[in-house]
Amino acid sequence: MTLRLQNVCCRYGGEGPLEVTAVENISLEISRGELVGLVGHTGSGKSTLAQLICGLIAADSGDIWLEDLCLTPLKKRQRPKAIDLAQRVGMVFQYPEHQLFAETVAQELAYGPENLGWTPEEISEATQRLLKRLGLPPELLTVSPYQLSGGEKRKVALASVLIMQPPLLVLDEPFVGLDAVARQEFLQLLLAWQKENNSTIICISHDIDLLASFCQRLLVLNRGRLKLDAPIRQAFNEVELLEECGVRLPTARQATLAFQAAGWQLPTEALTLAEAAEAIKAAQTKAGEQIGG
Amino acid sequence: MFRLENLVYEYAGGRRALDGVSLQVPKGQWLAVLGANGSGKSTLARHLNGLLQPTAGRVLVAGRPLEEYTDIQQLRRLVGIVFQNPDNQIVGNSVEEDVAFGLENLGLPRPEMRRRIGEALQMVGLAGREKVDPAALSGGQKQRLAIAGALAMQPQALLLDEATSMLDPVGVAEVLEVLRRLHRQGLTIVMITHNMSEVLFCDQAVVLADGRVQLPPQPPMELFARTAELARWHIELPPVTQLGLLLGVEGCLSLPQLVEAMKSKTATVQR
Repeated sequence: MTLRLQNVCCRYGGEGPLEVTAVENISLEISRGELVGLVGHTGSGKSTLAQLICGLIAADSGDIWLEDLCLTPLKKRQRPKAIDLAQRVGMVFQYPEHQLFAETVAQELAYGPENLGWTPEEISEATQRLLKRLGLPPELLTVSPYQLSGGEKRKVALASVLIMQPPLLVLDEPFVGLDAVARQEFLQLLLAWQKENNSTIICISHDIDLLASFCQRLLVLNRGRLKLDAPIRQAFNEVELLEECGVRLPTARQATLAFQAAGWQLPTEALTLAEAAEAIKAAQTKAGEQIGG
Repeated sequence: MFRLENLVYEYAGGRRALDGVSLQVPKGQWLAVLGANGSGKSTLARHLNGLLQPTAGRVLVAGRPLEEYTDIQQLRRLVGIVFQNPDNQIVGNSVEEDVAFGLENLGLPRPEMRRRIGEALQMVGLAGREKVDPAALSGGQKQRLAIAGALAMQPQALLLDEATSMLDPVGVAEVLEVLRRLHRQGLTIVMITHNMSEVLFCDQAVVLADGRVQLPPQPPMELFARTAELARWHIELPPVTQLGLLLGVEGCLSLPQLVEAMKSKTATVQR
């Protein structure tokens, strides 16, 4: 077991007319190695849920267990230490600027390991390995993170998390601002890391086509509540529910449904464009055979 | 509205982000600016409202060279800009206060300010949230607030640097509907985006790479037919167009179009 939430609630704005319930009564379990997509309309509670899971904010009620660490103690002084959290979960924020703080990229990556007592040699070796892996030139080590391009910042933020080798990665809109090639490269980096380390990945994204291409499971939030938790192929069968939650279907699924509505006989469970094309071609062949008699 | 003549821009340290860009954006046009990361798109956009000054070449806004806008605020009123990260441009303690920020510097009467704030918030779907603290808004809501702040200044042109990238599909649709309405009213729009489905709403699209125009402005349908060139510059086709190509159908921009094309294809094969 990697992560367990039981009846978790989180509110903003204190008590009174300005109180907002960001997350309400959420329960779920995610196992080691799962690839999970987290979707929902803007303001549905996705980022709040992500921050609760990472221990960055405290729940108002309910229980959160991250591996063997409880994130929901009753008293403030019992809250887990940041260093214990960092070894269990890493988060890459929606805006990398929100988590980059050091004067240089080298210092950014070294921060966590230094707090764990790694030697300078161990830190240097891990840093060089990660930079190479993420396609970042070593010259960037002496540069301020704020001088980097958007894509480079995102990679440095990811590196600062991966260097701690947490079993759980939470990524909040990691693909925003990346061009098509950069997006695929970033995704392949993540998937390779996940495979090698049997990491769990929870990915928040509005890019439903991209999530459909690699996630195994889909969590759908609506106004702070968990409305759907299902294997991804099955999740996209809940067309009306998804529409109600402001989540669109992947293009592949929309396409097969459109052809079905036009009278073609084909399965509608495609997740990728390639799957949709295969289903449509097969239906075209069948339609041709029927017309031919 | 905009005219760029051999625009060159070099950052400190000598990195040339724009390398001789010449481009015209007529008044009232909606232009998409496409390109891979680091192609120069954002650098180009920042010249259009004077955030950056050219290293070489000329930029004309509404017929006047940039250097003639001695009051840079006048240029900023003429050309609004909305960035990808609204946290970099939200300044108010409430939604209403944030939209009012630019208006206060214009010395407008209060009733006029209130009218403009109300209209701007209505346009972006934030009406009723005037008293909310922007820090309590989600990323997408903040983005819409940033757009409202630009619209309240009643600009002649609006620049959007991946302004919808953080929005959910409903939010994107709402913003695009706002932009379509503004476009019908004659606003010039220059939009940087990686979302090819949004490009379909534009009059024309241009492709930058390595700081240069690689594919000149042309209607989206014509641009998306240039598949080999687009792949070279890391520009992805809209998903429906990609699906069409997998099925041997070129130039599809919508699912109904693709279904009809496949029906015709099947009937043709049988004949």
